[in-house]
Amino acid sequence: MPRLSPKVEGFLYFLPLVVAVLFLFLYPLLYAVYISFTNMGLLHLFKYRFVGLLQYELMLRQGYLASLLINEVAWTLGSLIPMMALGFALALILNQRDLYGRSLFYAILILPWAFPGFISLLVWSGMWTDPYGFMNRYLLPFLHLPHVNLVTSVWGAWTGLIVTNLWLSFPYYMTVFYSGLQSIPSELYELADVDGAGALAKFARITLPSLKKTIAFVFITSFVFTWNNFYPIYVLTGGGPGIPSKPIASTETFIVYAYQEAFSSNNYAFAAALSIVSTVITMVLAIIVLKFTGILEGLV
Amino acid sequence: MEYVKLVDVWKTYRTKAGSVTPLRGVNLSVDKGELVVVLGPSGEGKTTLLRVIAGLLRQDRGHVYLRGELVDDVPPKDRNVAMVFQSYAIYPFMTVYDNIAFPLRLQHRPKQEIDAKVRQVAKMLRIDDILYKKPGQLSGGQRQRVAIAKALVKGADIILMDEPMANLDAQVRVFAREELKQLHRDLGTTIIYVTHDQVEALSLATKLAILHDGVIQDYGDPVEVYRRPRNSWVASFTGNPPMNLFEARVQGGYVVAKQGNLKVEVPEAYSKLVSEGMEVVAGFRPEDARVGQGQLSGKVTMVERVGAYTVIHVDVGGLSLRLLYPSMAPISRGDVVSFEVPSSALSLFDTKTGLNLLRRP
Amino acid sequence: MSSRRAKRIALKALRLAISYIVLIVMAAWSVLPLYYIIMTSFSNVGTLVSLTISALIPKHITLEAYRELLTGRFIPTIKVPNFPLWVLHSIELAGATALFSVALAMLAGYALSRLDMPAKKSLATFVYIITFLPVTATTVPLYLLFARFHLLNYAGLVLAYTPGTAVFAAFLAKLSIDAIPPDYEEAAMIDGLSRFGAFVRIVFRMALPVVALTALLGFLGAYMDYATAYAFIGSNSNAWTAMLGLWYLAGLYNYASAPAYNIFAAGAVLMGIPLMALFLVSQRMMTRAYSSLAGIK
Repeated sequence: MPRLSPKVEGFLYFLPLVVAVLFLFLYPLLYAVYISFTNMGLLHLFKYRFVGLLQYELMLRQGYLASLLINEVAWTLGSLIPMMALGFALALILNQRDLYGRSLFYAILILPWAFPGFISLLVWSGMWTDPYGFMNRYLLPFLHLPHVNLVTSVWGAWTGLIVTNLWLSFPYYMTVFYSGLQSIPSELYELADVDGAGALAKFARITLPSLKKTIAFVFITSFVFTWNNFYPIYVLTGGGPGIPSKPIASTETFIVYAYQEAFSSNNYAFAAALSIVSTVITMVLAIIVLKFTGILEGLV
Repeated sequence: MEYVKLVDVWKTYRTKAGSVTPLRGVNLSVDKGELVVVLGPSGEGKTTLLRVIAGLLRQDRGHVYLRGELVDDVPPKDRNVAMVFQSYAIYPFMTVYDNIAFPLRLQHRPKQEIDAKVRQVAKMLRIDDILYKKPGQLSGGQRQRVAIAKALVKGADIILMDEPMANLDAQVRVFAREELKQLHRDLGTTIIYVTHDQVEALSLATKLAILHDGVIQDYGDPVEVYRRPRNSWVASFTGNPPMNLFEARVQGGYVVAKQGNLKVEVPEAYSKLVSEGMEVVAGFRPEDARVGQGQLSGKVTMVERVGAYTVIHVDVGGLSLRLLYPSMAPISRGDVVSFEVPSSALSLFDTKTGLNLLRRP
Repeated sequence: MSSRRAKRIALKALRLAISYIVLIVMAAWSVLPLYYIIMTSFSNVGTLVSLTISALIPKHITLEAYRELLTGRFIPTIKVPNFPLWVLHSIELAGATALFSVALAMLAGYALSRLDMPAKKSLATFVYIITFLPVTATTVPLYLLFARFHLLNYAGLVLAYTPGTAVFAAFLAKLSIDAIPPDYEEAAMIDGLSRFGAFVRIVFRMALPVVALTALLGFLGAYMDYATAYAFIGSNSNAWTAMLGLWYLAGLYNYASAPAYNIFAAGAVLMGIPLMALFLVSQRMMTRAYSSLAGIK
C-alpha cells in the first residue's frame, strides 16, 4: 500500500465527522433556505415553484414574526428568571454549613432533572388536565388556588408552562450554583468575619462578585437553550390556545410552530422560512456566547 | 557490510514556536553486528534519527538504507526492525506474555512456535517467572527487560534503542548495562543505541557516533574518539570532568597559553603540523595531568569530592583548570599544588574550525 | 443569657427552620409527579377520571398494568405485543447510534490529537460552531432533505442523531488521546500493525473511558428523542420507538382511542427509571473525564 503523507492521513481520519456535519447540518440548512423561497406545501407538494420572499413577507405582514418573537422572549425570560432564582436560593440553602441531611435533600431535589424530561412532560400533561388531572382536582383546590387550564385559557397555558419548566430545570441551576458557591474559598468569608461584616454584606461583597462569571455564563447558555427548547411547549400546550398572529395569545415559539406547520399542516415552505429565521437568531446568540466566554481558545 | 546506512538525511519540524531542524545532513554507516551508540546532548535529534531509521518519520531529504536496500518508502511494519522505547511502551492492558508474543501473533505464526520463542527470550532475560503478570505490577528494571524481550522476540537483526536506561535507578542501570553488553556479545545483532549519558556510551559501544548541530561530529572506536576527538566540541563534550581547553600560541617548541602561566611541550605527533607563532586551541584531560610534581603550579579555588576521586579547580595565573586528585588525600581551598602535563596528553585544534590538527580521515 | 446571644440563637433557629421548610416543600414538589405516576402504575385505575386521592395511598398494589403493558396489543394491526416491540426498536436505534457516534468521534479525536492536518484549527472551529444549532432546529430541514433521499427511516434517524453526540465526543476524545503517549502506537507500528490497526487495537483500548462515555451519550440521545422520530416514522406504527409508544399511551396521540391510564403509568415507570439511572451514570462519567483531564493539563 502506498505510503500516505501524514497530512493526508490526518485529513482522512477527520473526514467522516466533517462529512457528517456538512451533510447533516449545513446541507439541510441550505436546502431549507432554498425551500423557504418556494411555495412547497399541501397544495404544491411535488410541483412547487419559486416565489421569492413570499413566505417571509407572510411572516411579517400577518404578525407572526412579531408575536413569535414576543412569545419567545416571554417564554425564555419567564422561564429563566424563576429557574435561576430558585436554583440560586436552593444552592444558598444547601451551602449552609450547619445544614443536616444535605446529601439526602440534594439527591431528592435532583430527581426532576435526572428523570427523562419527555416522560416527565407526559406525566405533567396528564396532571394538568382540567378538571380530572391531579393538579386541578386536588392540589390547586387544596392550596386555594384557581384552576389552571392549559388548553382553553391563555394565562393558564403560560402558567402551566412556566411552572412545569421550573420543575424540570431548577435542579440544574441548583447544582451549578452550588458548586460555584463551594468553590469560593472559605478564607474570604473568615476574613470578612474578622473585619466585622454582617451576613448581608458578605453576600453582596463576596458571594455575588465571585459568582458573577458563572451566573453570566449560565444565563447566556441557558438563554440559547431555552429559546430552542421544543418539548415542554409541544407536549403541554401544543402551541397554546390561539394562533401566533397575536402575541401572547398563543404559546407558540419558532421551533414549535415550525414543527407543526411542517408536520401537521404540511406547509413546508413556511415552516422552512420559520426555521431559517430562528436559526439565524440562534446563531447570532451563539456567537455572542462564544465571544463572551472565549471557550474556543481552550479547545484546539 | 554496510547494514544500516544514512545518506545526507535532513528533517525539519514545525512547532508552535517556529520550525526546528534537528537533522541537517546526517551521514552514518553501521556495519553488521556493531553496537553503535549515538551520543549527543538532550533534545538535539537523537530520537528523531532513530524514528527516521524505523520509518516512523519520513526524512525531508536524503536516504535510508537497511541491509543494502533503499527503504525510504517502506512503512515501519515492513522494515523488520525492532525498537525499545525510553518509556518501554508496554501495553498496560496485556500480560507480559501477551506483550512479548504480540509481534509474532501479528505475523500469524503457529501457536507452538510463538510459545517456544516467547519462553526462550524470557529465559534469556530472566523474566520467565513474571510472564503472567501485568505491567503495572512490575519494577522499572523488569519492565525494561520486557521491552527488550519484545524487541528480541521478533528475531529482527536490527534493534533500535532510545535511551532505554534513562528511567532506571543509578544502581540498576549499572547492572542493566552489563547485561546488555553480554546480550550483544551472545546474539551478535546490530544495535543502534541512543543516549546522552557518556558513561553508558563509552562502556557499551563498539562504535561511537557523536550527534550535535544536526550532523555526526565524530564517529569511530570509542577509545579513539575519546583520546583523539575530531574537534574541540567533541573534546569538551566527552570526558567527565570535561577536557581543559584554552587558547594558546606555539612558541619555541612549547604551547604557551595566552592567558595564565601554562606551557607544555609541543607533542611529537603534532610537531610537523604546527609552525612558530601559530595560534591554536589546546586541550588536555584532567586525568592525564600529574599532580604533586612538576614545574607548573597553581592555587586551589574549589574542591569537589566525588567519591572515587576528587576534582580540584586550580587557578594558574588567571586561567582556571580542572585536575584530579587522589580521593582520600587532604587538600583544601587556598592550597598551592604543583602539576605537570605530559606532552602526549595534549591535543591541538584549529582556532577557526575547531578541527583537531591531527584529524583522522 | 445575654439578649445578644439569645437574639443570635433565635436568628439561627429561624434561618434553619426556614431552610428546612423550603427544602421539604421543594422535595415534596420534586417527588410528587414521580410518586404519583409510580402509584398509578401499581393501581387498577383505568382513566384519569377515576383517579381519586386515595390512589396516592395505595390500598392494594397490583401488577395488572405492567402485565397489560408488556402483553397488550393496543394497535390492532400489530400482531406481537406492542410495547416490547417498540422498546426493541428503540434499543436497536440507540445501539446503532452509539456505534456510529463512537466511530466518528474516535476517528476525529485521533486526527485532532495526533495527525498533522491542513487547516486543522479552522476546520475544528467550523465543526464546533455548526453544532451549536440545536438538533430540533434542524429537524424540519432535515426532514425535507431526507424525504428526497428516501431516508425517512431508521437509517436516516441514526444519521440524524449521530453528529450531535459525535462532535462533542470528538473533542473529549482528542483531550483523552492527547494524554496517551504516542509510544504505544509507534511500538505497535514497529511490531507490525499499520497506523489504522494501531488506532483500533491499541488506542481504543487505552481510551476506553471516553469510548464508553461516547457510546452512552449516543445511546441516550437517540433513545430519548421524540421530535425527529415522530417526524420521520410517526406515520408507521409498526416501526414506532418507545418514546412514540409512550406518547400514544399517554393519550396525546389520540385521546379517544388511548388505552387505560395505568398502563401508560407502567410504561413511564418502566422506561423512566432505567433511563434516569443511565443518565446519572453518564453525568458521573463526564465529571470524572473532565477532572482527570484537568488534572493532566
